[in-house]
Amino acid sequence: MAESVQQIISLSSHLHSPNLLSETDYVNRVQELVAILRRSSQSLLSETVLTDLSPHEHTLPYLFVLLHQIDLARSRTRSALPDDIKPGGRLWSPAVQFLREFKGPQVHFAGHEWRQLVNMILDAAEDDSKPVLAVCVLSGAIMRIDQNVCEFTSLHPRFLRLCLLSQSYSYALPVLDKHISSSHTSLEQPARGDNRYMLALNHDANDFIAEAPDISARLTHKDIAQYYLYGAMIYMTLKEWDKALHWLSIVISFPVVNSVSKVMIEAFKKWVLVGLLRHGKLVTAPKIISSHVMKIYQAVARPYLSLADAFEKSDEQRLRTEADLGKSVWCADLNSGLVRQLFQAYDMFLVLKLCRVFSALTTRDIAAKAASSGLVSSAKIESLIAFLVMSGVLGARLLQRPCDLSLSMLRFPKSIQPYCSRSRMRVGLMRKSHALELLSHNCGECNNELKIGRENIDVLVRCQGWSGVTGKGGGKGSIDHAAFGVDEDIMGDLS
Amino acid sequence: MNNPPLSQEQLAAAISSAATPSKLFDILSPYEEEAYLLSFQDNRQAELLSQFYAAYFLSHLLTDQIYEARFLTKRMPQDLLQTDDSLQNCVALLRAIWQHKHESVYTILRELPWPDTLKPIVQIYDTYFQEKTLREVSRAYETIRPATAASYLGLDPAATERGDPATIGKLMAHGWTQDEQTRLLHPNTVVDDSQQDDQLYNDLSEIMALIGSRRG
Repeated sequence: MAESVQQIISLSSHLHSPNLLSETDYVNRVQELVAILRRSSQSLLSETVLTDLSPHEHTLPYLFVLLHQIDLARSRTRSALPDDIKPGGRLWSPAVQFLREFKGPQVHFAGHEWRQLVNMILDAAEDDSKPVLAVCVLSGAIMRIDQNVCEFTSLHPRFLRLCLLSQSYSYALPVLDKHISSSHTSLEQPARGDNRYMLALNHDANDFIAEAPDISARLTHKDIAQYYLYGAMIYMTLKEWDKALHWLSIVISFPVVNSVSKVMIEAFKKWVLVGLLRHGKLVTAPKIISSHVMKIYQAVARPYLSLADAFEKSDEQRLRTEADLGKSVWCADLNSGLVRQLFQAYDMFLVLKLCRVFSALTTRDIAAKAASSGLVSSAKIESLIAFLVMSGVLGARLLQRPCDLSLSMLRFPKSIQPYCSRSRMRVGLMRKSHALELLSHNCGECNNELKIGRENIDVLVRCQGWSGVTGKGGGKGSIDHAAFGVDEDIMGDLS
Repeated sequence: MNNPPLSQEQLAAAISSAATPSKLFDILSPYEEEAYLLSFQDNRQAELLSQFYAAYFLSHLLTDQIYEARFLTKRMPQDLLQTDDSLQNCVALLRAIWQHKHESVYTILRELPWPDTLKPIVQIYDTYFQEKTLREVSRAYETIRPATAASYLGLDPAATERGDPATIGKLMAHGWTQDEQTRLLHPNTVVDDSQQDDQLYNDLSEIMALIGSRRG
């Protein structure tokens, strides 16, 4: 069937007001447009000029015409990354404009093409040693394509890697702070007309969301592990130790059969150091890690564990010796920065430990007790303590004396004003509440997919004639698990 | 959707028109890409780039993004950073804040030369830093010597020490008191938004209800 540019533009224009279309109509029209664009001849795409189109109004035609022009530039220069697509090149600006303005829901139906463009932008920026340019534009693009679904794609780890390379960490935060709730590990295409397409949760007519596996390439164990490791590294640079620790604990808890991946080993080493920086001690490993994996970790991260032991025991001399001995190890593992920060943290935890024991102390007392560390003068100690109190780490108050400049008193009143304001606490609580809601929703979805939801169990019980079990309380004690031949965990759902 | 191109007029207008520091940050943020590309051009406008990066850096500090401000100094054109006075001031300022050297912070803000375009934002940061430190000192100290308070708050140490009414008056305005005998200052802890208890309680109830409903 021969199509014309007018027909394509007209079909694209019909998608401007999705609220006038039913969900099925909208999906059908977008799919029809994508199919036409995919089979369009080169001459047809060449006829359309990019400057005549708006990426927001005509997202799909713009994407296909842009890709066609990139293909032309490639074949003309016989290069995979022609100068035209590199930052500052002829096609760089249209590509960036597209990623800033495209309509997310439409792009879901042309995921393969979208991914092609994004990968090209990433490759071009990295090849030209200007990764920051790709990071600026992709942060917004990732958020726009996935406003509600929170799906993990192959783009996520690549994007974080570029954020690390360009040292532009704040651009990663909107993506990192979003809880991932789904991922596709296969390349199966959605069947036309099935129920895989759904409306966005906020019922905004512009937010038709489709589950489109081809937005992402095939995902592997390594992609997910790398994503969490890179994410943790970004949190480390911003000194958000709690989040970094959590993300690292996800990586080190990955299920394994025999061997442990290199990414997991790297994560374990960083997890030891971040634990020391956050809590001043080697934190307890997640219970989910099997003993044989833990043994592997302990064997390969021995210098780190020795360092942690010296830190925990407040043995400053040994800490310095261990840090010197392991210099080549920290350098090779790119952990020198974290090890350097341990010394600052050591002073801080030394003071915090003393403050836990006494209810009031003078700076001279602290100087005497911390004689082994570099904190020799009262002035240095007061400056450290003032910093700890002012930044909210230590809940105490300082009393200066009128004449004695070298002596200040540190008191720990029973009731200290919370350093975190109530409004900040409320924002934090609301965030956690939304995360819980999402988690709870997805747990329900998982239960349904695995057919272990309450309704499925009820049906199963009814079908097999186990009347009297459900409905009447169904307390744990009233069910004979062995008799049902159903796994105990599954029956746990009944209680 | 498209911003006007980066120019000195545009930058000056952004600095003077932004109602809040976060608005200034939001206005300057999209220009980083353009500034970065400009920095690779042969005939780059060094003055414009220097003023943009310095203003963007200060907008980070005004929005309490100290770590990001540090990484911005790594993303700036490094040759410009090494030679430009304003950007060198920014690096010195960052170092002083990082090392909690309050006196140096005020010296850099008040005594080093800043271009006219940046002066308003430098002045805003001076006030912001002083007020922030005042809140922190109020929380940390029960009694504080006038000289220590002066060094934290960028006040004249001699005037504070001798109890100059104009200097001490600024602290009294924040509820601080002074012991006539010992000359020690007693800071007044600033308590903020305590009336939000009801909302906090409601939010907590919602979360508990959510957890409760999952157990049922």
